[in-house]
Amino acid sequence: MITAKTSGRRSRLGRLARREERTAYLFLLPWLAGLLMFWIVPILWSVALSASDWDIISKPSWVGLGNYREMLFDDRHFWLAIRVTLKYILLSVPLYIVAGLVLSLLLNLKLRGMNLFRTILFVPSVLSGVAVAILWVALLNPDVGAVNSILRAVGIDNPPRWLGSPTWAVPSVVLIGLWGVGGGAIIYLSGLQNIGAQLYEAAALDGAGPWRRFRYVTLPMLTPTLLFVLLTSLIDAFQVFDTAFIVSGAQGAAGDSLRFYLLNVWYEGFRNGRLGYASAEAWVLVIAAALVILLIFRTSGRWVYYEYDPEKER
Amino acid sequence: MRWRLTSLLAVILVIGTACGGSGSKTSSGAGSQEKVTLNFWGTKEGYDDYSRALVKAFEAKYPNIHIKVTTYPEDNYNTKIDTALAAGHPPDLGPVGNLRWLRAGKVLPLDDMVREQKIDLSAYNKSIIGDPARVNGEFGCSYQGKLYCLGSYLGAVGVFYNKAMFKAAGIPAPAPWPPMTIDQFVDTACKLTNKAKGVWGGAYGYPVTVVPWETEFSKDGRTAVGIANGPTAVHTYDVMAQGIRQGCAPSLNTMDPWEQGADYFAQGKLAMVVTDLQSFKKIENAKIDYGVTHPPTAQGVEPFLQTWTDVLGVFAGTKHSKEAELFIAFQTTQGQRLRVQVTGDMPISTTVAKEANWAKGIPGREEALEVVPHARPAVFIPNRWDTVGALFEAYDQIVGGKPAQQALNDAAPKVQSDLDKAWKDWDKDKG
Repeated sequence: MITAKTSGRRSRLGRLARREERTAYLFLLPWLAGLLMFWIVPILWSVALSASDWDIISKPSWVGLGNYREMLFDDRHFWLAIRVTLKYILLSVPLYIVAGLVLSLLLNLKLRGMNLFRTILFVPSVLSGVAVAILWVALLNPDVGAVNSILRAVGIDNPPRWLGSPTWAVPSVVLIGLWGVGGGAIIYLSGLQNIGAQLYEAAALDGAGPWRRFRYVTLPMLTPTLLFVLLTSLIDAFQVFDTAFIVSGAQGAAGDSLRFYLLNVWYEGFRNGRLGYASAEAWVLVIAAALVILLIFRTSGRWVYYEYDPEKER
Repeated sequence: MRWRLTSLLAVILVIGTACGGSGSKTSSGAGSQEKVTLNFWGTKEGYDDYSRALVKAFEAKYPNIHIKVTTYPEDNYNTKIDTALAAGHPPDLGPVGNLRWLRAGKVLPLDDMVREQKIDLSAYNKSIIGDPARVNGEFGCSYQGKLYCLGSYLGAVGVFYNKAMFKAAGIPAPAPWPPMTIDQFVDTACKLTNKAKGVWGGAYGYPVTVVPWETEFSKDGRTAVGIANGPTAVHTYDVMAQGIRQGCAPSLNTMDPWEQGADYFAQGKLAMVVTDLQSFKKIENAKIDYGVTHPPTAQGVEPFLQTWTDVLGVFAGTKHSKEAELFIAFQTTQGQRLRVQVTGDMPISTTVAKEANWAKGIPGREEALEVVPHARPAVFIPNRWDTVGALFEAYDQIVGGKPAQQALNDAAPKVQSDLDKAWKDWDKDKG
């Protein structure tokens, strides 16, 4: 029964709660202002830009879906950039995942000096992408680079022309990225070290050898980490820019072979002065990447195993 | 309350008075004592000892004008200017070699200034000053019959050749003009190659950076199909690729003739190189007895010499247009002589080159002065580097062994598609 006393107490509590709520919003206000100014407004602005023709120095003019139409039907470079980026994704993502995993298994061995090896293998992943690209352009020099010198020394007379070859250009960029696989290996390593020893003991007691323990214990228990690495590798692959820019240069001197999607967006926006069109291309990338990631999440239930799964516990 | 209001008004008045005299809002003449600050934006790579000397000399001549210099990395410069123009606060001065700015009316024409300052442009390189009938904004300073920039030096792509190597091989040295055909160039390179001594006979970049663009495009720059895969282009690409395959020229990833050509030449590793002619000092310091000739051309195609300058201009919206124009006039007149003294670069005017004794009696430099007057405006193609990607790829394939006709047959429709898109954008903005 509500009495005057309880009603008054409830009213005081209500006022207190409202005051606390106001104080909370006041504290959140700077962050909210930042979110609005630097995230929401630019996103909405770029959506509007994608439907405009704008070279930054003149007033934008509305073109509606014109940019998207041009992209799909009139722009060879758009489809070329998709092909080049897809080729890179299909080559690099599986390779980096497998290479990272193999490396992590080696790094998980109990050997002397393992911390040193882990450090050495991790260092390339923290170096500047630009510096790494410049270094590898020299290493992959077809005539005097170290890579081809070694290949010739082992009897390969006609080694690939690497960045100078339309066939080998994208694989070269994949190779350059492989140098930084230590970063992914460290993430796998933390996943490996979180797998309970009791699972291995149980498997060993049941007579499972090393391969079966890997196949039925390690791999399933590592699938959450694999999911994370897959997603981050995919996002990185969609956004390849540094290496392609260094190799191609601002003028795109390496031709079509290395016209990655984000590089193409940069060319259209900042070299050709078509910011509206570049925004449209950027949105296509965002939507495509979001769809791919959504697909992975949707299917992850079939192949990602958690040691503790609340759904299965019910 | 009243005294608070009074105090506030007094403070506002004081602040207003203090801020009011911070800069002149009107242009002053050279003789005026009013202090003017000109904002000069440039590229880090382009702002060198000459630029510093130029600013110092200008300020000494015009003590009431101060040049405030800001530099940006070259890759960022255009974006910085775009942003500044969009914000309505561009610098007063800077490199203006971007056709978008000219078309949008963001750069002031200099024709009146040239007349008022009585600058004689007759000996200036024509490919920079331009042909009023042609649009040649990328390498020149003129657009639709008006002049928008002027420079102090002439950069050019040319051929350095080693006279001693030619003599030792018993091959007559090439004349500055007319140029060799590409066949003659590659043939000569193969004769001069000495693999035992690690010497390549010649070095050159991609065909689009060496031979005239009429090799691949029509004169109006709108057609590539039938020309880029026509007999002249096919033959040219094939000959150049063969030169690399036969080892007469280094592969493009061994050495970029543009960036490293002069270094390799100065080290005696090249008998000829198609490269930037600004490398005179480097080669002379290496005591190479060198000559200069015009870049090779494709069979039957009018020779073309790529040139450029420091394209300095005045941005529209400046509040000190007269002072800014004074600086442009200074840098293109006295600046040329200063450049010869400080960096030794070739002046943009052949008259100044002679008066300032730029050649210093060095035969190679004399030959360079014979070459550069043959420069002409390029075929105009909007966003040119966006249209030739397929040609770069085709050339790589040809060097790798693919038949030239097949590679260029595949490339030509792609180039045409890119060309059509570039021209569609250009014509749409004609306005």
